[in-house]
Amino acid sequence: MVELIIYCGLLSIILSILYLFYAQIANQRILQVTETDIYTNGYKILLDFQKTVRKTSSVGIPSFRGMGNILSLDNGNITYHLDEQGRIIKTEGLETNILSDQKIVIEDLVFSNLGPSVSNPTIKISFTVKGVHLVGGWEREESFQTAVTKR
Amino acid sequence: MKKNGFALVEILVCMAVFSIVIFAVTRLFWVSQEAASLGKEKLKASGLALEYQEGLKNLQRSNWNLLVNGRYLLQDTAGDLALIPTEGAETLGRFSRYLTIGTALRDSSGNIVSSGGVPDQSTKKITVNISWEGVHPGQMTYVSYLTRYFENFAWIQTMVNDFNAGEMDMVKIVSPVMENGEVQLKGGCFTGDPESLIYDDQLRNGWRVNCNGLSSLQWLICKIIQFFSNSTIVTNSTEYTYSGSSNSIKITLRPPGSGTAWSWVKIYNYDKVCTIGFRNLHFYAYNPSSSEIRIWVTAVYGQWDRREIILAPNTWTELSLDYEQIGEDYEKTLDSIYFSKQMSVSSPNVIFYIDQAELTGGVGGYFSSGTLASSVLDTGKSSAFNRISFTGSLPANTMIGFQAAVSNSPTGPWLFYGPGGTSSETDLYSVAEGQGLWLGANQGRYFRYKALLKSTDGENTPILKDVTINYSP
Repeated sequence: MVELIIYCGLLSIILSILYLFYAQIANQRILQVTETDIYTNGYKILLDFQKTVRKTSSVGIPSFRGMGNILSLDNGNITYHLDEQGRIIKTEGLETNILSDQKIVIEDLVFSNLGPSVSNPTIKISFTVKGVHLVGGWEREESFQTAVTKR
Repeated sequence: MKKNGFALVEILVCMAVFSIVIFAVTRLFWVSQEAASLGKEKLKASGLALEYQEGLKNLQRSNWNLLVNGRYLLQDTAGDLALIPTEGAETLGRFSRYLTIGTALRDSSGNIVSSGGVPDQSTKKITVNISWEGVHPGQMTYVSYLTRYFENFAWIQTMVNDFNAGEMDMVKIVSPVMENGEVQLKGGCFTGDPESLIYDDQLRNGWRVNCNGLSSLQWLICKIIQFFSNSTIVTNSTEYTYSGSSNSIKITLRPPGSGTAWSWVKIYNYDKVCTIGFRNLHFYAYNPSSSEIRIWVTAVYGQWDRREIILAPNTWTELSLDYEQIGEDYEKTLDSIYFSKQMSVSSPNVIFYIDQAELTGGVGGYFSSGTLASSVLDTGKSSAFNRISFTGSLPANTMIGFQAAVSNSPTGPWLFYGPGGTSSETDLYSVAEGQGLWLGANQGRYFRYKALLKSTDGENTPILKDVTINYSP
């Protein structure tokens, strides 16, 4: 009888540990997936921005030493802006691309056209990527920023 | 009893093993999480570092001199990026960053080295430091180099006036096409179109009166001629017109003290003009007296060739003495020209003038070496001088090399150095396509170069057509 009680006690401990273990793994997994979504989207946007600005011939918006949430390059042929659903939209000629997916929302998108070089200004981008899923009851978000000097 | 005891022990052992497995799996999971997290942090750090690196390129294009060694933050001040000196770091959430600007060192081959090299004033070492806090703290250092290659300037020396502004020693400037100048060793003659036989070039090569071996009276006369010749032998006529008696060589043949003798003056081919295969002596002579003068002109080339010329009174006479057969067929080397007359003790002085003497024909006889020290380039402010390149032609057994000097004063001192950092005549920039200037002396406001032209056999001359200095103000 005593042994049975001991066995039951030990089994309860083991089951509790296993529950906590798997719960932690599940939580971490959700966090990891959410963070991966955030970082993947963030860097996809940054890389596209870097590649595009490096080869641009002119920067229209924002004006020199100005800032705003729209970037217009090559006499308006290329633009970046944020739509109402929190997605970054890139237009290139007649082609429109959505740079961010539905698992995240972009906020606080700001472009800056920085001097002092007039011929080769530095275009800075900064934004916040927010995951749409709650992790542990909290929203996950990460801010990104980088800059590229026009060649 | 024994069996029951073993059952409990087995369970305990089983739990211990289970704990170990759980610990191992947890640890593995933790390491995996750490690696994933570190990767994300590094990605973010690289974006922040890139922002600094790109911003510095903006400053580099705007004004290289903004990149002063030190530790900074790069911040937006009213739309312009600016370096803010700091001892701390800029905080961006859990990240912090700062950058340092340092001098890049290069070895003798121009490769960047971490120590032991020479500072390159035109290259900056940029180090961006990013660190972060959190569950998995860490830091990254990003090193890059910025080179002052934007908005460089070129100082090009190619026109006659460019080269003439320098100081020449045993070299001459010729102008084969319009006003483009070429630097050559002195000596030798042009071939082909006789019109290209420029008075100035021949006369600049110099005819010098040699007074050695003369009697005292003749020596005195010779010295008088030297006095005139030293200052007037070069007519500097660029228009093929002689300038009259004031720019000519006055020769006075005086009678001997007793009896009869040849009174003579020797004009020595000091500069080895047209020494091999000379063909023609061309000059103007003026007889200031009212009576005709007969004198002898003798070419000495190992043998003698003596010819009588007649100068009409009170007039300039153009004379052209042909030595084509001697010069071309026998390839003799002209040593000197004598002007002489047989005179007696009662003969009056014979005075005449010669001008624009030139010797044409020969193909050889160049000096073995000569130099051109350029005029002074004033860049207006302290600058870095990057490269020297040139174009020219290098026949067999010839070479062109350069040394460079910088100073912060227009009057120097001018210490010319080669790529090895010495003033040795063998330490020369000699790569036509260009060579980086020695970093030990490439910073200053004023610049000069020295071109060294060499011909080891004297049969050909190197020709320097233009020199280009790349510099960064």
